[in-house]
Amino acid sequence: MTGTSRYSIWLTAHAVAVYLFLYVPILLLVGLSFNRSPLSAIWTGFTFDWYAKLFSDSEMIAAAQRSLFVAAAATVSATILGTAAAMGLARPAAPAKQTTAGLLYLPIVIPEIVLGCALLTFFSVTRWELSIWTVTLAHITFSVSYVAVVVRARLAGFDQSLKEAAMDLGAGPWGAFCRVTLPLILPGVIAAALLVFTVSIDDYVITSFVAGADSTTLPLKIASMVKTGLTPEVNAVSTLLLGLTMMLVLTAQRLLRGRPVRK
Amino acid sequence: MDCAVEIRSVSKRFGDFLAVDNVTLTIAPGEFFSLLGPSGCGKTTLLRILAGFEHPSSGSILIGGIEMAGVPPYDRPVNLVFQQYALFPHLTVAKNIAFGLRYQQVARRDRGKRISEALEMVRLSGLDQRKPDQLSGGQRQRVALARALVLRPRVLLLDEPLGALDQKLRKEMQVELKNLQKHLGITFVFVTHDQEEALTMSDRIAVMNGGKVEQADASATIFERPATRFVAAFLGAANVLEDHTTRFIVRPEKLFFRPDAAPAGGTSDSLPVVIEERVYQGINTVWTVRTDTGQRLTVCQQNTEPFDPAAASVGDRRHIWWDRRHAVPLTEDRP
Amino acid sequence: MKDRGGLALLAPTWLVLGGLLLLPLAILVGVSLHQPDDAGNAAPVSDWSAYLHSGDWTGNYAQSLHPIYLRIAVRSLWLAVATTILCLLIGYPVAYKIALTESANRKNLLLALAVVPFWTSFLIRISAWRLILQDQGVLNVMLMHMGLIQSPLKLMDTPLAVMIGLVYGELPFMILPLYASLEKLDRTLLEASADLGAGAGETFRRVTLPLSLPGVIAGCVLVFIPGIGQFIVSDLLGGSRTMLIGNLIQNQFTSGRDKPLGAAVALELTAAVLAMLVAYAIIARRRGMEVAL
Repeated sequence: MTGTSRYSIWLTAHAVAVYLFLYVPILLLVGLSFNRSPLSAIWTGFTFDWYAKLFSDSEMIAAAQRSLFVAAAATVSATILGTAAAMGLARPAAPAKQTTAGLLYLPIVIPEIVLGCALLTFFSVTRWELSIWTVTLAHITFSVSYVAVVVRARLAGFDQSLKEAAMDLGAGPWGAFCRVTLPLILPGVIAAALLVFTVSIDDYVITSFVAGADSTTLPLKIASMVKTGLTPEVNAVSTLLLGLTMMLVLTAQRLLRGRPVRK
Repeated sequence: MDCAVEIRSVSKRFGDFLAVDNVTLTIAPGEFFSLLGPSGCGKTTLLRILAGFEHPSSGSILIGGIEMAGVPPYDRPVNLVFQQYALFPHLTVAKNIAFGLRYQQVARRDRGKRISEALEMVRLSGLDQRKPDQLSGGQRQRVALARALVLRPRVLLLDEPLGALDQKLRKEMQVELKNLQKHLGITFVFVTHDQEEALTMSDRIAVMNGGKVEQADASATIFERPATRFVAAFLGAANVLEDHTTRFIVRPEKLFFRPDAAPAGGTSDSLPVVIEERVYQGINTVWTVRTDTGQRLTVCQQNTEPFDPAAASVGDRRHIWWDRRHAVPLTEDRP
Repeated sequence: MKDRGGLALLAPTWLVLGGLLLLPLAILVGVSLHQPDDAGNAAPVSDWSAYLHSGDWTGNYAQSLHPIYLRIAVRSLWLAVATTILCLLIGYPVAYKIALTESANRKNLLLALAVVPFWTSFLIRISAWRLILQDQGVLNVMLMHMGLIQSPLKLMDTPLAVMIGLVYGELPFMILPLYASLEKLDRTLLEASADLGAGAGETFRRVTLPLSLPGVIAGCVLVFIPGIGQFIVSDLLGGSRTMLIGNLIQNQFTSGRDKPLGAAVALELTAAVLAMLVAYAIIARRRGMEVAL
């Protein structure tokens, strides 16, 4: 089925074309961020100017700080909540399992627009002023689901007899969790945390609804700059953000790939 | 203390399914006791009840004379060797073995000594820094054993621990386990579906079927004097014969061929048969014969004489004789 | 309570999702039943029984069926369908190629390269296309430089741009489930098929394709459903010309000043999405397929 048959060559060519399609726009973005010319496409020379401009742009830095803060806060909360939820769902006698599982899927399947509107309406009805905290709460809402889904997948392959062995040898339920379960699911939990951090840092739609005037995050700033056509700086900050998220995602990939605990 | 383990009228229900049906057994200290039976007979469930991972639906368990109701697995003086070993993949062999020592308040400096003792007991010294995925199946089995034994339990429970090993290794481990048990004097409760394994290692065997104990006796008794048809069949083909009043069993190797019928008043009884099949198995020859009433019986003879084609062959008429002492009456009245 | 530990683990999630998801959605439903005031917010209702009796509470939903809005819904729908089909045609061979790669290292690399876009900023990836499609964008500059065109092609703010953006954004969502399904394919089945006389095309049609169906369906669901709720692509590449449901909703919450209408449309979208997912789950379960989501 493999080898240098006609199909194989077409398949390879097609795959190459698709990967190019996926990455050329990104590479162009990165490349043009070093372009001396402020009118994007024509290359006039290499420069770091746009990056330098970023670091002197106080609004940009503030937006970046806010994004990092929200991502960090949302990640920590969501990871704890989501991991607990995943573990709760793994127990045979847990209450309302099906409902909880369905509830956890809801933020992922409901279109972001709807979530954004719903939260905005919620905050306005409760007279809650839009701020960095409303953004954080919104991010926690959808992040919990991502963490739960990822950790559940890891737990599914978890060998229950390991927990029993720990208890047989004298460990109570808490001891069994700390010494056996946790170390073994930790790579999965960390991977989930990294992914959720990425999602939070990149989030645009929901954030655009629940951010107040002074709580502009990085994606919001980028979007407004894109629409007003201030291209080169935007390319630079986009490149940096892409670089960061790619690193996080690749790390998470590696963690998730390492030997899950098979039965 | 008279018994290490007392199982009193224990039943276990899973929904509608009765996995263990009113079982009563006593196991003496230092005994090698096996639970033998086919898959689904309830032997593993019973073992897990002893370990504390299942609660009996009714009845009680006493270990060392102490009632175990409400006592969780981590507080029981028993340890379990799991069928798939359940070694902690993120810990080395040494750390695996040391795992339970923390809960026994063993001082840190003594732990090292206990670990090396345990490793020596199972002949794995030198492998302490390896991780489970770097070990062979047989080695993993020994680590699981050492991990349980290092805690010096009153009773060691073993759930078909040799199932995943190949034939040769299995036989070696059977002997090793038996010797280990004798040397340590710990009570072993061993679950298996292999009757030969049970006979090799055990002092006493409980044969289980459909959640009930069909017979619990010394190994030789189980083998020579099965109480029910199931036990007889499970431990090797059983020939069920009837005279006018009772049914009884004669083991295949206790039957031998003679040309004529046994004289009345002697020590033997006999039946006329026709030889239907003959299978040469190296050490033994197994014959299938048919009586006048159409019943099929199995005869097994050791080939002590060199192979003689003129001896009994298919189609011949012979008589099968057995010493009356080898006829075991069935105590059940089931057909 | 039988499992206190389980309760303790799940309760916080109930609180958070109950308060920040279910409650807001319920409020949204409420808003959709009101009429807008001058600022666009839900006008308070003084006499509820009269209001309910009059049937005005269905006003927004009725309004959403107006031809203008229906046109937007149809456009969103057909764009989503077209995107799904394109993603399937483009993505299947890629997933196939990755799944059939023998070298484990190469497979992991290809998979990583396909996954990374999945998790990185949708916004940034789409905005990269502006660089390409703009009047002074990379594409036009290149074509003019090569002398193929005299004046720049108007590519931005067209349905074509939105289409490209949608396919570009959603492609990884199709490749991954397809890959997961193809990966599980037993190679020996392909060998058996060849042994029994089927050529490569036949084997694909009669063995590979049917067995990868769960992945195909999962991929289509994962592309179609976010597709109809799309907002970013049409916002950045479509301009005012190509308004989709997502833009419509956002519009009502900002410059359109009609939150109740926006809420109604948002809820209709949600209902449609949930209905499709439930249908998918039922069909999958009935056919005994794994629900690969």
